[in-house]
Amino acid sequence: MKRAAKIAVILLVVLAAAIAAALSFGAEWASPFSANAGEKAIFFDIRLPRVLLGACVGASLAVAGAALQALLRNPLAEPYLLGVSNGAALGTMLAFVVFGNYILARPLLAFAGAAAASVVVYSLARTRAGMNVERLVLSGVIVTTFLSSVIIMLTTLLDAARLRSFTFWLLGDLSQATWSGVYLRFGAMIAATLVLASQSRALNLMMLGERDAVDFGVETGRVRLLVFGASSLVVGAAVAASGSVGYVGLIVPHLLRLAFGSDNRIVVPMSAIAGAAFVVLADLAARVAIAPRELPVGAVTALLGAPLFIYLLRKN
Amino acid sequence: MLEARNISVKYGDAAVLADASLLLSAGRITAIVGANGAGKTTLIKALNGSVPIGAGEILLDGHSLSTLSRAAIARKVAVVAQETESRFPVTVREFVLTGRFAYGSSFGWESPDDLEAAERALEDCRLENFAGRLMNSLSGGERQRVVLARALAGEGRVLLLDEPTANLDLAHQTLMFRLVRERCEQRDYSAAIITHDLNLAAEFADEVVMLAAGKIVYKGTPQEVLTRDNIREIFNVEVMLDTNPSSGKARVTQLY
Repeated sequence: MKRAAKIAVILLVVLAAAIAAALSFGAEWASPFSANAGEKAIFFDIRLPRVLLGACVGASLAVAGAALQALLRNPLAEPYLLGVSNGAALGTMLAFVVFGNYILARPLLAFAGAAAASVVVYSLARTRAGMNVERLVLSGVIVTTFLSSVIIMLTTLLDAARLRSFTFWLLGDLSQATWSGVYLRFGAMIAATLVLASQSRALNLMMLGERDAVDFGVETGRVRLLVFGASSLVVGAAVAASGSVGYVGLIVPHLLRLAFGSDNRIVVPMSAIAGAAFVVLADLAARVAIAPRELPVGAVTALLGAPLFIYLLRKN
Repeated sequence: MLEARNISVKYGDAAVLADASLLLSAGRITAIVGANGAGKTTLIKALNGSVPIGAGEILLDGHSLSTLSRAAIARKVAVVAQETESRFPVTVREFVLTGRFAYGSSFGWESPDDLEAAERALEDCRLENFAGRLMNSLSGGERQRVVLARALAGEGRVLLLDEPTANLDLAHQTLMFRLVRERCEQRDYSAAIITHDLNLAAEFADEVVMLAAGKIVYKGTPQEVLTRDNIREIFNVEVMLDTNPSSGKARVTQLY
């Protein structure tokens, strides 16, 4: 407990520093204390919500990744790689095309899409003998590519201007951040983090094997439902705002396990804080790397994540 | 005390266990023997409710197993299963502490009681010096002892052991059986052990249960059950039987 508190303080300091850095740098100089109304507007209406949305999205994806990895006994499980993010993306697109006027339709359908993709991948990967790592990864690939092709077909319904912003969004993009968007993601992220962290002791057993968990007193069905439910909720909310920012759920829990061990009571809640810092910094890199033009933040995280994935796959 | 009354288990349409009755009473060790695929592991799984039974009932200290929560069962019944390798780096102490899950909430840290029980179990299994090591750095036999230590840490008074000595050297096979024997004799634990080693069964068990094709075929003391005819019938091998001169128990020698 004491150790967890210490780690939390360290990571919160890192997160605060990341947020401060992300607020200070950008294509334009912007200060909250400036007398210049334009500068002030850049800070409060554009940069601040963007940085905070990045933090919420990062926390959401990382905490979902950490919990899914323990539940599925697979360090390679990650919302993006399992197809859960793409499920949410398809839900968002459907909402956009069909229910364009209802703001809440997007996160709701994103949640439904993420939940549906989770269930499909899980049932594809599961055999009577249990679940094996390669089968889970392959099921993820199949669901991801299938959903991608449906998304591509749907984009043909869009006009040219919307198409460009959609392509950017699909790759993971925080530039459309609004305050109302931040509030919704923050709420979803806090709720899901609490639910997932509350299951972390049970996840310590699930991580060792489903039979171990049943033998030692875990109601595995309930844990599975809570983890899939909470992670779908939070991934749906994140993806509806920022598209598929990939590999966050892979990189962050992996680094935390390297540093602090595998205890999920540390890895799961700390993934939220570290994931927030990670995406804030990745988005800062995306904004300044080729300023004044921007990269999608998903391109930056994938650039870091894909090599790590290959490394983990080889190590296994 | 754990009692199975006429239980049956089906996987799909195939009956894996049919009409099996078994009483594990305090202070006694029951050895479960039989050929591969006879239903031994399924029987153990049914006994702690981790596979559903199709017919019959199981009573744990007088309560039907189906009315108890997983945690309530885990506080009374400890399992040593074949260990599956985890891909996550977990230390021996963390692993043993998972055996205390049923005493806490799903979140939260272990109490001083939990930590003490884990340390005691590590000592009993001679694993004090391994506590900080990672599970995947241990040999098969060392891991098997850690799995036993976790079961003992849970302090369940019914022990279900699925081939606990499969990976152990001679000294540790004896340590494992002595530990179980000691718990049964001194603390009134009861134990069911699946084993392929008929001599260990003869040496340490009070009762031997022979399974074939999902049915309990013979049940009784080692002397009653481990006979040449029974072994020929169940395992399809010829054996010679005599008495172990040091312990006076039955000794089985296979004839090749």
